[in-house]
Amino acid sequence: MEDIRLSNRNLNITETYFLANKILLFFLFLAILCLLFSFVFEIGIPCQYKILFGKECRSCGLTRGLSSCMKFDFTQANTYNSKSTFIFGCVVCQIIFRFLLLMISIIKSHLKQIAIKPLQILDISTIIIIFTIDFMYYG
Amino acid sequence: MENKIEKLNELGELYKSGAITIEEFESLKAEILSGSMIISENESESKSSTIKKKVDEEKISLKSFTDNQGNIINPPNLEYLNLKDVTDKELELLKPFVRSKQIYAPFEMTEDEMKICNKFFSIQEIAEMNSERPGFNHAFISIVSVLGAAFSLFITSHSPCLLIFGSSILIGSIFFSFFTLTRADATKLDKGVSYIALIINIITIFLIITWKT
Repeated sequence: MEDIRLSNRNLNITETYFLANKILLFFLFLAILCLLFSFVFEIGIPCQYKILFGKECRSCGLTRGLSSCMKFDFTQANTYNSKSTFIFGCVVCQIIFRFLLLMISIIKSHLKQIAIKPLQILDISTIIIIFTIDFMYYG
Repeated sequence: MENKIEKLNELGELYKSGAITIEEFESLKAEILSGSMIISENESESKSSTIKKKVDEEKISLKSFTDNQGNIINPPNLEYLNLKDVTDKELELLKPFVRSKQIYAPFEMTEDEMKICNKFFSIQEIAEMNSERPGFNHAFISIVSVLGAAFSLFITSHSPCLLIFGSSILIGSIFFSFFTLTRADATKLDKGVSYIALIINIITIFLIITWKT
């Protein structure tokens, strides 16, 4: 029989939020894997801005800085790029927060008892605050 | 006599198909046997077409559901339906029920309700119903487009090292946003998120254009 549901799934806001969380977590892990790869094999990502315009950009040295952060050498990290420690901290906090959210979404039977809205507000405001701090202090 | 046997056979079929109850069966059988069902030829024809229609009728399963405001919507009082010959009155009862169920409780649709939907609604009407749903029909694409837009904005404003990578994501995000916006079954939320992604993309393009090398 033909399926009349033209779209396979219809998700409510909470389900969509958890799906977005999974996608973000996947990309964060991918970023960490790239960092680990560059850390282990000591391969840097060439600056595409420099290739195009012949000048170093404000994020140059970030890969080396983040690699130093993984060795917990934050002073060295800041000499490569002043944002390294801040971005490393943000990524670690985001991974922990998103992993907790993933755990909550797995325990589906308790979903109704957990107020998701405050978590969503906290999540979105945290991202806005991070962006604002980044703009204000690091340009 | 032959007429009576025919009638009894038809009656038996009706009972076996579940179209009539045992009480109705017994009373009709008694009427036929006692000869009180002596009818004219015209009446006989109309009766036999009614019986034929009844034999073609199938028991349909319509189940109640809860709409977005928490109201329980009960199905119309229809137990049997001949899908090949549905009257306007039956359609008037069925269509609004199936329509709102398709909008508010699509996963509770029974096979019969889906059959009815397939038969009496056009693809365009079904797409319109889907677009009236409260959640996301294209959640994944909407999320990817808005995350892609945010990521390309971040790269443009903070990490120009990944300029080419960011630009590719920007193009992908614009494509996904337009893809969602052009779907007939995209909900308001799908479209809203896609518009947000497009606004972020416009800001990113503006930043790229005004970049000072």
